[in-house]
Amino acid sequence: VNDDAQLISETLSGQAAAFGQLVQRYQDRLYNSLVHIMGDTHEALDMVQEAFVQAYLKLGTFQQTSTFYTWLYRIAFNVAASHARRRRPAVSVEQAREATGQEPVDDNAGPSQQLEQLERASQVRKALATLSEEHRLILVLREIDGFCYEAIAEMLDLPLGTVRSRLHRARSQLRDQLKELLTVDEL
Amino acid sequence: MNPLPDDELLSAYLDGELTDAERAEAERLLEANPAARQRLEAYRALGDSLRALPKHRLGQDLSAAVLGAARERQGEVVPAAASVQSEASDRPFAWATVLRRFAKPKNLFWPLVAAAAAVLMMLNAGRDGQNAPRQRPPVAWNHGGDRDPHAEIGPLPGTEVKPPVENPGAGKEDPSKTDSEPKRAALSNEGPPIFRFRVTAEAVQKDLVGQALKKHQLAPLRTIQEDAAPDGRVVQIEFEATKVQIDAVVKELKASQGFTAMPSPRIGPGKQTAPPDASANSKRKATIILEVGKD
Repeated sequence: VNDDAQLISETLSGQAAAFGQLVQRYQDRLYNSLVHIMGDTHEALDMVQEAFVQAYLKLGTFQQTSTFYTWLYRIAFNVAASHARRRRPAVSVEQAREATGQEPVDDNAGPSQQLEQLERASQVRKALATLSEEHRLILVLREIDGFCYEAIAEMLDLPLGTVRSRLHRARSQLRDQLKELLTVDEL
Repeated sequence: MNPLPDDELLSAYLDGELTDAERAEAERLLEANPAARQRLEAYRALGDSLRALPKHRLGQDLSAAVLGAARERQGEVVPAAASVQSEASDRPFAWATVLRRFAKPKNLFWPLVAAAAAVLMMLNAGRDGQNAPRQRPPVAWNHGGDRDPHAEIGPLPGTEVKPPVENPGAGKEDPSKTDSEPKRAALSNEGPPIFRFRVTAEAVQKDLVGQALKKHQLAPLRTIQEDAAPDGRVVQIEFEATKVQIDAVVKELKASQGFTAMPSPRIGPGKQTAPPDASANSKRKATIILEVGKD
């Protein structure tokens, strides 16, 4: 399997198909994150596509001091932020629920487990949707994508200390939201 | 460094993002304070809940659409698979932008007529010098020096995408300052095909459409349900898929028990399919209309 650096090098030498492999490698991961952040599957699809197009066009400027994925994320979030500034009003919980459509469920789980998964996912998603975009974003980056503070700081162009304090505030707010939705013993 | 507030310390402790001294402080706090341990567990449970959220997957390969859109953005030919419109300001040749939009197979007729008319006008202008100013084709046709406007009309299959480093404009831009309008490149400009079925209520209950879509890794974009007087209802399911996927889903439904294919409500000759030269990877919208309980 080609690693990212090799695929980037091949792309820059004119083999566009190599970039196609990068798209295939990261499209679902980026899409999943953006759905959680934006609360809208259609917008997330647009953002993923636009991010890859811009990454392709700007690949010659990529210094490879960070990973390709971190760089791609940064582009995606800038695309999303730009898009939100122009078009999108704040998303309500209900809008987010409708826009993300039905939650995918684990096909291997039994019917009652699936129901439980759906219910729990719905509660968590509702709580996430009540947070500010910056708090939602940093939680998704840390908890769902598993980025370290340094990568998050680079992506969001923030000092490390701000990442740490913002993440803490985001967690506190989400905890407060979920206290109302979940029983105490679950937290 | 200022000491961190307890909760922030615990949050960073959970992430393994503390210095040795801070970690030792956090561990002392956890050992001495049951409430701190409880808060740490709460944060841990939050993380588990977020990581347990179901994963959203695209169910389609975006690579062809991305490369097609990038080609167009670079000012190259428009592949049939993509229809992303790029910023007009990126284009050195305004008419080329317009012509690219006409480059879809179904729209080739009028550009070709326009091109032929322009050639005739130029020939006519050559014969009659007095009429030349009025009969000259639009200035934009000649803008751009030696560029051949006809070369911009049609897609040239097999043309390689230039690597990004060969695009001087793109290489200078900071990714953090992007501001172009995203478009869904995967969708072709074709009107969405509509497939109409008469179905039994039992067949609807089994969600055979949902199953057929899922089988092909597709999902409905939206589902609209309306009551249809006097005793039926209409369910409209919109989705995006390649031609092959659409055909497969429709074929499956036609073979399903309780489904009877009906004539499409769309006006126009021919079958409800994508243009023959559209890429197999090109996504388009399609609609399935179910008329329930109208036997």
